[in-house]
Amino acid sequence: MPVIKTENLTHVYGRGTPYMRTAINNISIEINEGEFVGIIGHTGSGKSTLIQHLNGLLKPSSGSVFVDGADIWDKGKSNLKQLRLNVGLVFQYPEYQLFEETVFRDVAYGPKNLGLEGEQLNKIVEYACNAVGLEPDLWEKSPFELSGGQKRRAAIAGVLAMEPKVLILDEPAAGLDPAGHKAIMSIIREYHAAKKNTVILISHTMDDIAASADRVLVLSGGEVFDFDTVDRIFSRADELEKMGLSIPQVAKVFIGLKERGIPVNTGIYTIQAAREEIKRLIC
Amino acid sequence: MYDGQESAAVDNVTISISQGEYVAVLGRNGSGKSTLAKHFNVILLPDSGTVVVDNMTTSDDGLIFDIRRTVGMVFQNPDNQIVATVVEDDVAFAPENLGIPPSEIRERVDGALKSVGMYEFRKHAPHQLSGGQKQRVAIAGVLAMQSKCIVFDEASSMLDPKGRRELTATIKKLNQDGATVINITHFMDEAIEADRVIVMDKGRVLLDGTPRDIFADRKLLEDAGLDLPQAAALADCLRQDGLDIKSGVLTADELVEEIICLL
Repeated sequence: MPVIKTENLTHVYGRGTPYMRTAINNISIEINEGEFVGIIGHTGSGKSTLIQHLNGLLKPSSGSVFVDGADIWDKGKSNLKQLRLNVGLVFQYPEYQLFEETVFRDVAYGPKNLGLEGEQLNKIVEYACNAVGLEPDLWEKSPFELSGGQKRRAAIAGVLAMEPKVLILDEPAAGLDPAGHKAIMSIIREYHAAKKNTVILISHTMDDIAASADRVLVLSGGEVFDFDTVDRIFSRADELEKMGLSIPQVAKVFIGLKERGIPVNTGIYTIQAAREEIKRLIC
Repeated sequence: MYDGQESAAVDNVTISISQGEYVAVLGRNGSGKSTLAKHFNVILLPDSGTVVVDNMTTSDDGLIFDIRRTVGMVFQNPDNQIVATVVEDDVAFAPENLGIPPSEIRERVDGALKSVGMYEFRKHAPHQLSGGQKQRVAIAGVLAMQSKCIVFDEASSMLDPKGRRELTATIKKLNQDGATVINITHFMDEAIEADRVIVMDKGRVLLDGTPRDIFADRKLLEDAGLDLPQAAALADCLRQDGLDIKSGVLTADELVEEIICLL
């Protein structure tokens, strides 16, 4: 059974105003338990609107969202509090949501409100802080004393501490320097490898998607352009580029070679695969 | 030097940027890039040393407004930069404050909005725009001021790849039209567009040269917490594999040419 399923999901903003806009249109997808799904698409393609439906922050204009097989807006059965426990959402620039006096208390805020206390609470907060690589000497500091990358980690820890069945992250590495970017991405990959939970990652950085995801959902103009394995999606790299997405430079090299009439495989997006393909070509 | 910190955020930096240059500034978080840039339009004043903008010393109180008119800044987060409730009013904010005649303001605002691709949104409210769109409005606001020098402080980091390409093209165009451009960025593919790249590390200038020179030193870059552009990294790996790829390859197109030469 898919852990997340949408059926003809449509959302219209500003209905009845001059700014009415259909942000997502007729989206039907299934995401399986334990999968790592990447979502890509240009600005305004509906990525953020889609994920805000998955934990009930937005209500569909039409269509349905199922989590664990249950329609989340089904009257009588719907339990939004439970839903938001199951589906944890890390927004863009989550560090703007830090507010507590200490890092530890900020991370503890979610689980504490779920009724955890004492040793149980401490344990989960310690787990989350360790998972994002925040050293214990930072736990009693004010979150506002941390560096940008550390703040980002603290904010992500606050969601991990809820132990969501499905973790959704919207551009978790945006705005960080290359080292911070790599660190956040490896935290997410390690979390997924250790917990085997479902992870949904929105990113403009195709390299991150290529290195992490099992499948990639491509949105364009509020609709599903494609939803397939990483290899199959990147074999359409030239179409992705025309949609305004940035593809790895390595993929561009092979598209360029093909355009010049060289018989190469164009589904290549990592440096390692590129080295092998070029060796094959030259030998 | 920031309060409570033992080391200087920017330490003994001596650089000179000429009229019309296009300079990219790279460096890991905390390397002093933004602190340096904030000295260029008197958001910060030096603890020691001097900053001179267009023959004006930033420590001279009477010159603050002239300096800020000369150097426009575009920051990372557009939400902190937009003041008006209608896009075109926001872009007009600075020229209005400079006392420009209304007809010319109209011209500047329209021109600025067109060059960032936001003209059709001129009557919209900023909160209805996406992050990338808002950022382009902020850029239009600086364009409308016709500053001689524009500093982009990680201005593309919240944009999507298309927005980033448009911004990079806009920066290039501004530079070709004569503006001095300083682009602080974490994106190596933006840096290769510049005439000159300055790499900051621990508050000091680590490297200063053309993109080709800078990206030739992979080891030093990695020590400074930076990456090679992916095409340059692939070229480097192919060289290690014994292929005869010339040094200084930075873009996918250049690498395609090199590989074709080998076939």
